[in-house]
Amino acid sequence: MRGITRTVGVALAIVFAAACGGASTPAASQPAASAKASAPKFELSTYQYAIQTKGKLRIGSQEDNPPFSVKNPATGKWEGFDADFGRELAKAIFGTQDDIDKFIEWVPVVSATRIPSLTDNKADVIIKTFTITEERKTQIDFSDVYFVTGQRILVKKSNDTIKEAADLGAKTVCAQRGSTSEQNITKANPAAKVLLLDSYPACLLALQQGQADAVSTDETILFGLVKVDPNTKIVGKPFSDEPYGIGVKKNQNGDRQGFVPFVNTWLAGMIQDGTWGKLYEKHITPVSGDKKTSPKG
Amino acid sequence: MPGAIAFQFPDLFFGGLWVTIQISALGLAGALVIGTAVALLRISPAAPLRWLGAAYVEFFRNTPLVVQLFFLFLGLPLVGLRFSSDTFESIFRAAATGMALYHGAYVAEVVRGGLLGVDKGQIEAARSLGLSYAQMLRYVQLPQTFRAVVPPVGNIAIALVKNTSLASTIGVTELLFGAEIVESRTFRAEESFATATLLYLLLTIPLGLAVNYLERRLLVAR
Amino acid sequence: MIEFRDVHKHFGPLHVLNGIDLSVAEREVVVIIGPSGSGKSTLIRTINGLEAIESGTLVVNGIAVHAEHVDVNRLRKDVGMVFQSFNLFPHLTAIENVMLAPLKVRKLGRSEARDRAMRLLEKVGIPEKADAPPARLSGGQQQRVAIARALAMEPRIMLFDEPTSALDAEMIREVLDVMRDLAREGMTMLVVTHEVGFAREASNRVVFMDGGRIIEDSPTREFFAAPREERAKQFLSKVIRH
Repeated sequence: MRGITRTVGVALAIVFAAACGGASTPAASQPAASAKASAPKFELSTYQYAIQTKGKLRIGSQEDNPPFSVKNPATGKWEGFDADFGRELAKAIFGTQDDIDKFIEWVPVVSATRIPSLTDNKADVIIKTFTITEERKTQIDFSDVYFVTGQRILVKKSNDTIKEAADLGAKTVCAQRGSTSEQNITKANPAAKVLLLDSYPACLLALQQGQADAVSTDETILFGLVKVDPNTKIVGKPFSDEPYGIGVKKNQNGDRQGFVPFVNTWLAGMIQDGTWGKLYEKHITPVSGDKKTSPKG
Repeated sequence: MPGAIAFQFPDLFFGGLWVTIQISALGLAGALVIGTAVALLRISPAAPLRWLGAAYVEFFRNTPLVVQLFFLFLGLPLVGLRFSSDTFESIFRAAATGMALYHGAYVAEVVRGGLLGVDKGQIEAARSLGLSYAQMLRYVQLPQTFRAVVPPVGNIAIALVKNTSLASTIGVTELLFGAEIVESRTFRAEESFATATLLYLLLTIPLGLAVNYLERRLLVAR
Repeated sequence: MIEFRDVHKHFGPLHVLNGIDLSVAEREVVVIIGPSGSGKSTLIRTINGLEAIESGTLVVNGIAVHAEHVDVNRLRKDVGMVFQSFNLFPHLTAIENVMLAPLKVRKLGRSEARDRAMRLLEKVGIPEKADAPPARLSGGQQQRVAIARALAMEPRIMLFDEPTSALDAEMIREVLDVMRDLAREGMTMLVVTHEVGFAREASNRVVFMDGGRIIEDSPTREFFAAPREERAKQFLSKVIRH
């Protein structure tokens, strides 16, 4: 039943990725990688040491989740904020390398497979717009917050009557069926009329065809939609909190010893030395228009 | 207890059921009219009309109903057509229209079979009495066809009722849609969908019984 | 009243009507006999336009049936036809079968159409079956309803296409009696049949066909006394023996 909307979604994602393909340069091919002397030293009992020894960090991310993670179909290279963030984590484990991708195994996931790919030990980390919730914390561990988003509103560029949630009264607002976005809209403005479709690309079509006045969900998803259709814009202040974390399998019998603290230390360093801000500027600013130096702003 | 949840969310379950009934009724009425008209095209003496009828059937039978619904909802505005300026009225009408167009193709095939099943001698008898082609259709060929096609059309009607659940993909707040919303709010998946199933059966089982009854009555009358 | 001039028709390779010349006057009763496949049925079916002719001319009741844009509905109002397989409408009762054309084609009022239909059912001897569906009638009763149905349009010509061939022996009589009465009343009739007794008793002329041609066309008395043609003789001897 959701085939059509998924098809539409994939088609849009391919168009988007192809558009980006021209700008990116393919990774230069290099002889087999070898860890350089600059690689950090870890305690033998830690998980980061185990990864370093194996020579590969397995990063789970989504192939079509712009601007956070997109696998460029033309080059096969992973791009986006989450992808580059993963590369930084790999550098923290393997040291500075000529081609850090040689030390990364990319594991494609979708929303529903994020937790299983950790608990089944298919991926070491999940970096994929992964909202930290109490319910999820019972099954896996999260790093500290590395990105904060909230629900905002997407409208046509020509629309200047809708500026924030308060303007949604009697307007048709599209959201994905079964998402928390739907309930957030009703909470923010009970007078809004919510049109529920199966996917956000379908909502974007409804917006383009004038069947919806606005689309509302996580700002990050709206970023992706703006990139697909530059005739749209994101308006209003966020009216919900969505903190993203890096997902890690829970430490059982010491199999993830010291890993979450290591990731948190690295994360703090990333923010402190300005790398986080640079990644934000590279991937998020082009669609959001703002600049940030840390998840908190 | 399955079904109890329906009374906690009456708007979503009973409201959804009512929307399902409305779309089913409108869709079925449309499908019968379209199906009969297309079947008449398909047996028409004029070849271009026959092709037109065949093209209709092949197109609507061989494309997924969801795609047709999406086209009616989001494709028609591309060419400036809109069922209503109100989005929710628009998706409701798109859903009813989609049901009529899609199932009309199936009804057309059944009715065509029924029309061809009427003895040629009767058509000649009617024509030799001076009835025009249209009068012959109306008073001789179609009445017999309608009796013959009650069982297969009944099956199409039941399929139509179930297919209305696809209207949820374009945002129509029918029965399945209601169940999904309740599920996403309460996480009581089994209860929500079991209740929706019960409510669908509440529609389809009496429909099946009605078809059986009509079939038996027509058999006696013949 | 009916005028065939050099009429031809093919069914694929079969030359089913091969140069037919035939005139039928008003009030005449003509019986057409001949072996099966000789073209008899096709011949009478051309008269009300159920079969089109390919060449020649055919004028019926002043209407040129061979013309390009002939109004067959007007033609058929004045030409009744009775078929071998009755062809009653199974979804209608006997009287509704008889009423249909007067109501829809002649645009009679309902009560008038009903009175007329009832009179005709009395005429064919089955008024008590008026409200029965055809499935509850015997073959002979069905064929009599079919005759009443054709007569309800008050035709000037009646065509009978083997009206008794599908009937059991004991029912043939009742149908032929109705036809004989009709002939006596002066109806113009063309009857394709193997019923030699009916031909002898009720017809003015006998037309013998074979291979798409009219082999012999004689007054009834002459035909049965001494058929001129050898083929007609042979056929007649076979039919009478059976």
